[in-house]
Amino acid sequence: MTRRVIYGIWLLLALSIASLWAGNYGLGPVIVTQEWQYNIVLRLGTPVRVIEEPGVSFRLPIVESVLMRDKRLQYLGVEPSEMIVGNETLLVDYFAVWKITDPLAFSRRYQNVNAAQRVIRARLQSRVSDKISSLPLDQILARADVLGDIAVDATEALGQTGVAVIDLRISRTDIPKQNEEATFNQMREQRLAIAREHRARGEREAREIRAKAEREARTLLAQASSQAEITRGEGDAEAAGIYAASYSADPEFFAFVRSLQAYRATIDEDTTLVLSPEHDFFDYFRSSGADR
Amino acid sequence: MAEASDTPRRIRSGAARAVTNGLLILVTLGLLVGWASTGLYRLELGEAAIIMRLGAFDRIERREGWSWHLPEPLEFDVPVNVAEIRSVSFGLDEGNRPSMSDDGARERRGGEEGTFSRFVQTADNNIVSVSYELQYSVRNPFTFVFGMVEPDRILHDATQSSLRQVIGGKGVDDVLIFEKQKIERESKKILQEVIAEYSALILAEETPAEQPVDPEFDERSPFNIDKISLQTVHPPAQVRGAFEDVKAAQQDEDRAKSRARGDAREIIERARAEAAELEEGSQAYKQARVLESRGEAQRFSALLDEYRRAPDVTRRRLHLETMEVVLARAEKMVVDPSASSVIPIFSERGQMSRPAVSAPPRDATPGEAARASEGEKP
Repeated sequence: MTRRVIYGIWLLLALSIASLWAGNYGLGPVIVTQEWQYNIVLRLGTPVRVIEEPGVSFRLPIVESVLMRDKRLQYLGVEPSEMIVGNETLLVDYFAVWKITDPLAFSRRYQNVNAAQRVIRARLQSRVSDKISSLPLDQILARADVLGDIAVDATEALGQTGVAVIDLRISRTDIPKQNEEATFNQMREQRLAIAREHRARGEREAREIRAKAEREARTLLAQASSQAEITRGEGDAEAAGIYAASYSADPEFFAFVRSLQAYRATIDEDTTLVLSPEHDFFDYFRSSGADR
Repeated sequence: MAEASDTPRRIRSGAARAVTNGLLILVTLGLLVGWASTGLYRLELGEAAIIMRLGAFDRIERREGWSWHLPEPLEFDVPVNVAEIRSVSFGLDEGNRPSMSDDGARERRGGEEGTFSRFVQTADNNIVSVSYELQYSVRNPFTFVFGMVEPDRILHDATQSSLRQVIGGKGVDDVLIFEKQKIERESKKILQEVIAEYSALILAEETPAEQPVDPEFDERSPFNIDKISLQTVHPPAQVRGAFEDVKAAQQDEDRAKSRARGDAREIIERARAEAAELEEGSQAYKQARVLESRGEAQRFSALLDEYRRAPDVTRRRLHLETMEVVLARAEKMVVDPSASSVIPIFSERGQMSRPAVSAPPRDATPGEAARASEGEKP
């Protein structure tokens, strides 16, 4: 009796564990829905319920089958393609992040995620090229989320099929290889101009610095010169003052002495003096003055 | 007779039953233990385990070493390395710095047929070559494992997008020289915002609209973005020469200016020296004049004193001395005022060569004498 009980418990346990285990893999009478899954239960091909929350549920074997759909965020990468922006061609590379919001609607429309990717990509392509050609280059370069409203539109359009496009973003833009050289030329030109500007500025400022120095120098000299004149003047004035002070002690005597000096200085070999015998000099020539 | 043989059989089957029962119990226990042991798991250092119960997220265990959860299939453990700093490189091969020559080279991206180029456009129609590295670790192990289908590709493209966007908004000089760190910061910020945007929608039906979460600390984010670091940023090899020339031109500019400054200093120094000379000269002149005048004045005063002591004598003397000198030098004619025509009386000088200037008068002072012989004006 005990044996049967033990057998019985054992069997029950084994079966439960086995079915739970199998349920993790989508087999057996037990459905274990994982965190990242939606499970759609079909009874004889007709969907009867959609399991969106993780946990354990049951299904009737044979009549009921389970379809699993991915709840996670999906990545859609798009090959870089040439697009016209303004008057340039660019290789634009973008990616999308989307998810299944309504697994039932999704499954009705798409066989699997790959199929859905193809459809989504197709729907996005033309919209993206149009949007990009309508924008100025600097916006496309500086903002990756310019495609954001396409994502919103796409979500609306695809909402019926249970797809939500969460994000659409430019991953990069490149200049096509054949046009690179043109850009390089432009860059070289630009650098050349900058280099020229630097050198020109250098010369210009050097000239200015020197000119300024010259001006300063001239001013310095002019000031010094005028100051020198003033100093000389002071010297002259002081001297004159000293002379005057001294000579005015006896102006007449000064006139006398000074005149004598002048005669000495001016009368030379080339001068002819016509003297009268009455001249003072000859006083003692005429007579010895002994009888005076 | 039949009874006697029954007992041993009964005993044997009883014993056999006991043994089989025992065996059964042992086996059952063994299986139970075996089953229970599926709940054992071990975490290495730096790992955390996501414990799933019947398909649903239950908890995260972080205790390193051996732990136990309910046996499978009730609970499953998913270990995740949360401590490791993971890196994604863009434009770097195996951690080596890329050489300038393979700038335009396009590498394969993650196994796909895509191409990766290090060239990025700047806001002013220039191209720069950049290589960079993203470093991140796992923040929320659950969303990391169960949130996205291809988390590494999403991260890769989102990083690339953020960096390219930042560079696309700056000018080439900013990118190459001035704002490298700013670029790293800004692109990290954008990346965090993008990831936060995605995390909000992981496993949630609607976008939660309570308070906006700071992307730096968003708990739901699968990634903890550590940093984006620029490894190399330089102009493409094809235009390197032109960029180098700009540097050379800058140096030329600086050199020209510094040479000019040197010259300027020289010019001013020379002018100062000249000015000093002028000043000195004028001071010397002034001094000389004053001294001279003082000397002269002294001399005159002395003479005046002498004169005052004996006026007539002094006058006479001075006069005669002067006449002596002067008349010795000059051509003379003594003419009687009453004569109506000039008859030279002292005319022997006529054709004879002139004598040298006469010897200084005996009573003259040396100064006077010197003046007389040089004929200098005072």
